[in-house]
Amino acid sequence: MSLARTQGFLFRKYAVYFVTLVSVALLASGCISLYVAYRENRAAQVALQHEKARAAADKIEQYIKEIEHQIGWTVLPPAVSVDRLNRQRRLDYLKLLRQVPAITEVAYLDPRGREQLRVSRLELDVVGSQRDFSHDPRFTATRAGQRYFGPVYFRKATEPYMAIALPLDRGVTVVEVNLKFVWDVVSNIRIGQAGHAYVVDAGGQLISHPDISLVLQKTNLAALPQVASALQHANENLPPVSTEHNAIDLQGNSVLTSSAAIATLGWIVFVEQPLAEALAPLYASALRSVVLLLLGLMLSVLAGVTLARRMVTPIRALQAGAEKIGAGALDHRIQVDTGDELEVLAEQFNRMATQLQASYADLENKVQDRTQQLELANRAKSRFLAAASHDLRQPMHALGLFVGQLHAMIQSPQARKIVDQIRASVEAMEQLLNALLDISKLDAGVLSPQLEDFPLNRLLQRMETHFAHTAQAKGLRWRIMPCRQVVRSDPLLLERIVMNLVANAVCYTTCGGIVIGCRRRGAYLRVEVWDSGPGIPQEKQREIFQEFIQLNNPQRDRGHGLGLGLAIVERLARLLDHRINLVSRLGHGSCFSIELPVGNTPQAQPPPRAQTSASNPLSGLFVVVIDDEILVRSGTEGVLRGWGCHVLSAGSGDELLALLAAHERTPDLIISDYRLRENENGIEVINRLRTHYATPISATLISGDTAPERLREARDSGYPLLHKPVSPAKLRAMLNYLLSEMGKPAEPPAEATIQL
Amino acid sequence: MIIEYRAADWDREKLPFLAEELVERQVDVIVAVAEASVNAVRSASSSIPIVMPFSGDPAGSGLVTSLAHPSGNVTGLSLDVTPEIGGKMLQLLKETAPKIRTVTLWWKSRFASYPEQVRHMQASAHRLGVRLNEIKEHSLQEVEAELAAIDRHPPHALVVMADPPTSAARELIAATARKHRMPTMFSQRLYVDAGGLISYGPSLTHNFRRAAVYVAKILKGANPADLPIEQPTKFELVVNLTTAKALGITLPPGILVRADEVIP
Repeated sequence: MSLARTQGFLFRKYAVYFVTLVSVALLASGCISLYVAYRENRAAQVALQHEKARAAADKIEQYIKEIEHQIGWTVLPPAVSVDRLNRQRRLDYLKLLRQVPAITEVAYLDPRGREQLRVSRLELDVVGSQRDFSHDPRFTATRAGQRYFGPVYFRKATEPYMAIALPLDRGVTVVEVNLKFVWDVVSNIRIGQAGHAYVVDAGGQLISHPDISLVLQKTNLAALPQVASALQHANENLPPVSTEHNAIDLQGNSVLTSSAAIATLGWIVFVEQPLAEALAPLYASALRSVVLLLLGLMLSVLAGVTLARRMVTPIRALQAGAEKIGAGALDHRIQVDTGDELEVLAEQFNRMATQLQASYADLENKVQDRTQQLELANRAKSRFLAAASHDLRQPMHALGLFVGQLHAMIQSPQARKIVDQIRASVEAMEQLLNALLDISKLDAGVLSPQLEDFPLNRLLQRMETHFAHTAQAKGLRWRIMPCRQVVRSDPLLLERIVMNLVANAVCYTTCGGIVIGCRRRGAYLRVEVWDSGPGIPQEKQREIFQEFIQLNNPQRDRGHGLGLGLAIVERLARLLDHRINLVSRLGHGSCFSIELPVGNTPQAQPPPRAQTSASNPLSGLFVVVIDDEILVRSGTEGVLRGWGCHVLSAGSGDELLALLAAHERTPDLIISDYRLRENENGIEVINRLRTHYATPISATLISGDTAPERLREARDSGYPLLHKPVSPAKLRAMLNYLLSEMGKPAEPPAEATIQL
Repeated sequence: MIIEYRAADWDREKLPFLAEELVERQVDVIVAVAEASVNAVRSASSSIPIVMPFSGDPAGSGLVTSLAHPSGNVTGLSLDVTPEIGGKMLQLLKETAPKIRTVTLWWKSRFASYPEQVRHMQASAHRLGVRLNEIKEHSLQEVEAELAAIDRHPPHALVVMADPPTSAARELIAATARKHRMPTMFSQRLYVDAGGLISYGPSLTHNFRRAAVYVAKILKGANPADLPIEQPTKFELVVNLTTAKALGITLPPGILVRADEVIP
């Protein structure tokens, strides 16, 4: 998972949560306040309209009532003659016209519905016209003692009139009233810019409207929802509704409207205002709210982002810290100072890291301890091997020297045969010891390979001379494929590898044969050793390269060696960086091979090593021998004397110096055991002698020690080192070498050092 | 507010120039009193609102499309009263002076509503038992000539339908009438103020007041095209008590009750 993506996601998530929360709250409150404001505004507008409508209705009603009241004054007492009555009534009517300018005409209908008197502002006054009104609504409607309000009509297109009939004086008084006053009242009602009032009668007919042409067109508004509703309420004597929600005007536009009924006339006054205008202040406030809301939203976004960042920062610190700790930086500590659960969490993380660190350190200590123990065990093993081989070497060394002496002395062929057998046994033992020593040396890491280019054939020839006889003696077919290839390796170490492999093949093969051949593989040459032995099972093929592992030798017959051959092979191959391969089939045989880098043809063959000639250059040399083991001392002394040397031997440096004090001659050679008694060593003794005589006397160290540290010390001293047991031949070769190098800087022969 | 007055001094020829002058001054509203001046101003501008305090028959003469909705720049009030008022005038004169038998009607078809009123007057003359003679003067000079003729052969009573020439000669008319103890009836109180006996008709004062209301509405932003032309609703009966006494007439109670104003 991408870390950046995760971080971004957390941040976005928190930011979105915050913003959504605040936005929803703001929106909700904004909407609620808008709705409340809408309701209140609308209610206030309706209330205002209702007030105006009510006031107008009251005015109109009052106006009509006043007219009725004035008409009431015309009631006359019963009079004797009709004529006088008419005269009196006429005067009253004239007065009425004076009192009420809106009345244009007054007429009196007798109980039969005949017009007895008519007084008019415009027309001729008429008395006793006897016109029949008995079927006129002005007469019929008032028969039951009711007032009558006629329909509104217009004179000259602009003057609204209405007849009012009142039952008076047993007859009916009919007046024609100019309703311009009503029109004035209605026209004067203004609400806002476009708001106005109008009046409809009980049938929904428009009576008064600021636009008089609508009235003249006899517009009926009963179809408008608000009018229909108000009329229904008025007809059913229900309390009038103050407002109608889906009210519309004549053009079909939505309006806010309110009405008030004029009970006496059955008319209804409506006050209306276009909804858009009525709600304009509301829209303005809504706009303000929206602007505020937007501002609030912006603030909330800012706050949300900030809060989210503040929340996310410690979480990111936690995440980064956990990641670092997880990556192994156990000393890392997370710093969070939020003072909340996150800080607690960070502390727990830190505590966990501390515990981890502690247990990790504990583990490391344990590993270190274990490694140390292993090292100690390994060292102990090396020490054991070294000690064992040293202790075995001492008598072996002496034995070899004595056998050599004995062989020179014995003349009887029978005895000589026995001595030869003893010598063979000693040699076999020596080999076993050398193998042990080799392992010790390889483990000590004191070997440094000296790589050179050389023809492989030389090595193969040596195998021929070394093993052909043995193989043939066992009845095996023996074949070496010749090879002209030059390889790059350490010839001595390589020879040891091949020799071990061939020795194994010869040892373990009982029938069939052995073939040694080479194959070129690119830049490598592969030396293969084939045998028809018992074969090695697959699961054992790794195991055999370990120390002391021998297959097919459960009896641990030491005639088959100690099982160190392949262990040495493996160590040497690793040292030389050569690859060892094993192909084996159980019951069919094995093939060990080693891959060598192909080398360049060397310019010149190294000169053949100096061989001891028949002449004896050692005769007459003054050789001193220091060894704390008396047997070894006397064995060595015997061999050296046999070679014609003058020998002086001692157990320690002090003893030797004491003996030498009786001799005037400076020793020619020093042979010293490496490890002496009382913590004295050969290097010190040699150095003392050299100092004593102030001459760099040639010297060689002999050691039975195989401990790697000792070997390293000996090597560092610069003196040649021979490993016990040293055969007389080896000793002689070393002495010859020292003799030839006398006076030159010491460069010990390789064979002597590597001892292979 | 600035009020500019322009008068043609009986010279109709001046009216177009005066109208042009006012239009050039870009006045907000023009109040045009007589029908001739309304026509002159209307010709000069079709956009400046014109208010007529009184006019004869604006719908009939084509000044406006309808009384309820004038639709142009002209509005105001009409004197186009119900024609029956002609008969009413004669009835009131007869009620004031019941003995009269011959009445001279002095009128000119200066206002669109006059002929119909006169027809009603003629129609009711028979019912009221009077004979109606007509004088149709044309100019101020002719008015004086007619007065001289009246002076020579006075009728029982005189009815004058108001117009500018007789209005100018109103005091002379009143004086001549008093000289011959002749009751007089006018369509405007102006004549009664000048010594005439009685007048009955729409109140010009009232009309001028109403005209002021129209001007106010227009100045407040109302569109003259939407302001309906009002008809006279107030008819005033004015009686000159001095003249009555001079004529030896006792005003009957019906007249006194009715009278809107009695000039002492």
